Amino acid sequence: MKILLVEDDTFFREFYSTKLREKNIEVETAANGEEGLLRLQTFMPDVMLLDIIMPKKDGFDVLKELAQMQLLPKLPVLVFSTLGQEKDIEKARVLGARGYVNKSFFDFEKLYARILELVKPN
Amino acid sequence: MPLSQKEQLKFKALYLQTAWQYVNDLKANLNQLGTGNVTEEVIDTLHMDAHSLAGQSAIMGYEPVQSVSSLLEKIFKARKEKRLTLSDDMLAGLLEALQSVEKCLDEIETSDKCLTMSDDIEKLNSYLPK
Repeated sequence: MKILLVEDDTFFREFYSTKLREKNIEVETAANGEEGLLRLQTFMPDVMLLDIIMPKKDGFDVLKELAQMQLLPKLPVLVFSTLGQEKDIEKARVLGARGYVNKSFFDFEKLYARILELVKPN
Repeated sequence: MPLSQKEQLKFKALYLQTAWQYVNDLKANLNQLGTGNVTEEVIDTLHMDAHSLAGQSAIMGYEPVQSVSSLLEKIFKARKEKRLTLSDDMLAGLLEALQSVEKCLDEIETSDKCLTMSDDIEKLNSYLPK
């Protein structure tokens, strides 16, 4: 399985990519939305984990561009949120995100189960 | 939920490295605000840095740093949305809160514990628009 993790925070990027690789998942990372979109030219993931608040292009901009590129139906996106971002989560859902993960309340097994659910064939 | 003790140890060095970077950047940008040189980019950066520091402190279980940085995030968001004007007194209060965060990071580095920051939390709460 392949995951693209788009997250500007170095700590979270390292933390989640380490945890995902421990599950033998191939992980590519990008430090902002612009870099994340560029990475898609050479790496097509099964799932994208996308932070919302980022420099350059934020998570909303990325979702809008993914929709324009007609990638959203086949590329499930989970947004990374923190407490108090309920409005942002709703906005992301409207823009096509499949769900969210509260990145500050660590429950890796829950995240992993959610990822597996998203890549499960219909 | 916070990390297990084993995982906390594994990621502590990375946490401290990035947390210090955020605190230094927050201080530099707050000092820039104090000179009257206010751009939307500076406010955006303050908001993003406080947001990141709050998130990574929460996952590591360092609650006092998380509480203070989360309040800083709310204050910068209110400023960004023009619901709040930051006075000189408030800027001084924000810098004092960051000094407390620095002390807390020192404590975490040496003893893995952090002092409470209830005075700073009370002060920052009073800055938020009602």
